[in-house]
Amino acid sequence: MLGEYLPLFFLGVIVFGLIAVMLFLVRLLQPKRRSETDLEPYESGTTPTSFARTRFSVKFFIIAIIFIIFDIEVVFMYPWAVVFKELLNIGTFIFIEMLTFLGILVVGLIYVWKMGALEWD
Amino acid sequence: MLTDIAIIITKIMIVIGGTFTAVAYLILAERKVAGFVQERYGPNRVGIWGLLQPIADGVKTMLKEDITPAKANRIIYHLAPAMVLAPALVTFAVVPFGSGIDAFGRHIAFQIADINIGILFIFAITSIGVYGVVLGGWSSNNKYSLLGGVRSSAQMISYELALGLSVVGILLLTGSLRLNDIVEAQIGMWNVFRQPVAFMIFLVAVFAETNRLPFDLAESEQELIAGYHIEYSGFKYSMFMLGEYSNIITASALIVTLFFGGWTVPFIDVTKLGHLGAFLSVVSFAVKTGFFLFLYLWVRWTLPRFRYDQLMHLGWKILLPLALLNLLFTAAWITYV
Amino acid sequence: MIDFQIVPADFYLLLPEMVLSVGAMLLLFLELFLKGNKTVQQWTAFAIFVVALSLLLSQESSGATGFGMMVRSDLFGQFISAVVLIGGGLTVLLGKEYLVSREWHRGEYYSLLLFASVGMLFMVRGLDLLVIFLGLELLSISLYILVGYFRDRLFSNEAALKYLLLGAFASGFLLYGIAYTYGSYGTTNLNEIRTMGSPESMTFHWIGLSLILVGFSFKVALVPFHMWLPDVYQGAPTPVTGFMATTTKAAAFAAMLRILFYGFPADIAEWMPLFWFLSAVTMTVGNVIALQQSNLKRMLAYSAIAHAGYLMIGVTVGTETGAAGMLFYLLGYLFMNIGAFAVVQYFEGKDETRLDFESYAGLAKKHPLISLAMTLFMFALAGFPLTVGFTGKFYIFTTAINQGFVWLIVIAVLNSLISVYYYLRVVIYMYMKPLEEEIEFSPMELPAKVALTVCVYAVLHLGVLPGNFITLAREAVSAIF
Repeated sequence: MLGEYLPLFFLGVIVFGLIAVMLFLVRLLQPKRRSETDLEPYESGTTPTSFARTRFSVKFFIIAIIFIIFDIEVVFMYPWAVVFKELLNIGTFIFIEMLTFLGILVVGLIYVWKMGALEWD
Repeated sequence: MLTDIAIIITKIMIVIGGTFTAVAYLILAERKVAGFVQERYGPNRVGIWGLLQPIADGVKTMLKEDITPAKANRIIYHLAPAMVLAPALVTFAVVPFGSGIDAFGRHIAFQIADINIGILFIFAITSIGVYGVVLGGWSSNNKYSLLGGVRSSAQMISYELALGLSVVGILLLTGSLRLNDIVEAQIGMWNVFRQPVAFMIFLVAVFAETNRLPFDLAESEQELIAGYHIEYSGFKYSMFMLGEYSNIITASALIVTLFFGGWTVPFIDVTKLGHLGAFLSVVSFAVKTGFFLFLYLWVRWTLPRFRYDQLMHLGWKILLPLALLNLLFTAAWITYV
Repeated sequence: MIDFQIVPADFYLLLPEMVLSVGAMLLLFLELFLKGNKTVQQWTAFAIFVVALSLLLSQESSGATGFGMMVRSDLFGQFISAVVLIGGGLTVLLGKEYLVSREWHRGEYYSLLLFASVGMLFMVRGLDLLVIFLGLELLSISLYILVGYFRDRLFSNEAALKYLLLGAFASGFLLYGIAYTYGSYGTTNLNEIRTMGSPESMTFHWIGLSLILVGFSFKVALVPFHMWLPDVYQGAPTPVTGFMATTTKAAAFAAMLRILFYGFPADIAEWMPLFWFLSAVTMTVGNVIALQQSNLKRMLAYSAIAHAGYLMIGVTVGTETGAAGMLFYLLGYLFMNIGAFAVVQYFEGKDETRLDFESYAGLAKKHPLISLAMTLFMFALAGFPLTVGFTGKFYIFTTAINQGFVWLIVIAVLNSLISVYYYLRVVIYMYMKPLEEEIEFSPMELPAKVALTVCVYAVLHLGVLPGNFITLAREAVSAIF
């Protein structure tokens, strides 16, 4: 069972090792000629005015929340899809079941849609 | 046991090395195609046809100064490029790039890990990349990069839904999350003919996921200078680039695996041809993937960029309902026909 | 592999929940596509509650389980579900006026009430810890939104945020508890836990059960975990407060009873000292702090904490009669508390300034009937004879004394005496102080009148002729022993 995942473990170790080594090498190689203006944020040449960590549009949060809900529902569909043909032998219940699930999902989507949460102006 | 580990490590080295080489020449190809489209030469000074250009570029970025802005959040700022690059290199692990050969008394599959949750693994790992993008944008303390990061994360999660849903149709047909099973189920009939709608959705969503034109709003130069990696320089910048282009390669490979029969060769059963068959299968996989890589470049110089509201409209109001309908139709088809 | 088949009978079992869920989604749709005033939504929601209640009551209560022992239809579940559905129906009737006057009358209010009720039904009818948790989450999420329903009011926002943060904590505790229970028993099904008897790991069992208890203590607001309640009750829209105070308490106590008495019957006696302590502290703290409140909603919030303490006596006693007393008291509490909040919401005025005792001065002269109703509810909450408050308390207290919990009952009776002070203050203000300012209240609308009448009638009926309902509660409780 775990044998299947052993290569992934090696891969992870190698990838992180590779990145770490490269970052280290680069640190040795790079020149250091820092001046104060170097360290300022680059904003098209004008002098930066304020701190960048300010508030931004709430729409991004709404999108993120809706995404979480829908993404979890999508993940629920994966095991369903995998056993679909197998359980179809027992009866069409598995189809009706997912139809119900999708129905609820679609109600949510229509609500979100009509309430204008997906509008972007 | 030792042989097994040696084989695993060899495969990993081949895949990582292959990815790096492919990325290097993909960038060159991109510039060459750009030159071709715009009726100019493109890079042609370093080596014949500019073939050594990628090496020159690599050495150059390594020797450049690596600047950390004064008010950046240092830990996150240093971690973000790694969080983009590492998942990009790991995802390819479950993609089978050939039929496999018999050697050393065992069957060696051309795939790093043949796990039974292959597709889930890919989606799980790629979604880590979103963190790298948004954290990189946030930690640089630059307004443009913040906007770029937030925009691209919203874009990526929006299209992830359609992406995930379009694959469910294939899972219904195949009944397995293992990519090898999906490939083998396509012998004789590619999924693109069975699931054309899913393919279209997947293709569009994958372009959005990789932040490529026409969906490159994260780094739309005219508005955001460069997007989330604006403050990064030197090798960290090239880590972002490496990650992005590796993602493009993985995405193309995934399109091929899911919809175009993966390593199978039409009308020829490569599994019975021994080493020649294995070679053919890799070539077949490479050619198909190469076509989709070219499609990426082609589209880049053909289509203009979307506006952000158009992007969201397409993702949520067209692709998502379409993917749901496709799923419903597929399930009904299997049940009643 | 799957070792059970899903048969139509399972769906029959869940008919009330299904009606409520479909109704809730229907209301969302009506809100989207129906313009004009929202009276249609109100009546639809009410009809859905009525249909669900009649479906619930028409079900056999033989203890049949469904969906592989995920849910169980027994008299216990039916009793508390009926309390929840009646509470929901009353809240629907009461809500409109309040929301219309604040220009916040929207269909989502009814939809969320329905979703919350579905959650509570799953909580009390679930036989699996995970189903109970799922129900609790559905309830909590709906309530977070309902509490913050006035999104342009600071109080409402504050309440919602506090409730969300602490409620999420409580859910976390509960879920950890379920995980540990699973670790010690290898199952989350209460039926299997019950038949298994002894856990594989005693440590995990203790950790699990205590975390589950902490989770539920948050929800019913037992004292160390009561901090959120006053602010939330004060900030929430008043009809929602009434709904939360009664139905949620009933559902959470019912789920707790089912888990403790049905799943872990051996532990009740062992944990008794803890329950004793929780009960005594909760009622004392609730009552003492309620004494100092000048805001009526806050006063009722602390009284809700105190009542959680009285109800805990039933758990402490740990016998069938004790639990039956709790069930009966929860039924009575539904009517007296929703009634009290109905009067509060009528008098509190559009901008919620008239919530202190002074603004009740002399109201009896102008509104004799409503004042009389308020007097009745206050008497009931304080536990005066001829009201359900008296019969309920009497029943719980005598059971406890018969079981030898004399000191606990001494504390409880002393607490009841303290509570008389602040409950009667309202009555004194209404009847014995002169009217301070002339304020015209628009006359109460018919649905609200009906709801108030039902509450008054029920408080009196259950107070004078409690016999049938006590028998019913005893039968209901036998389902979980």
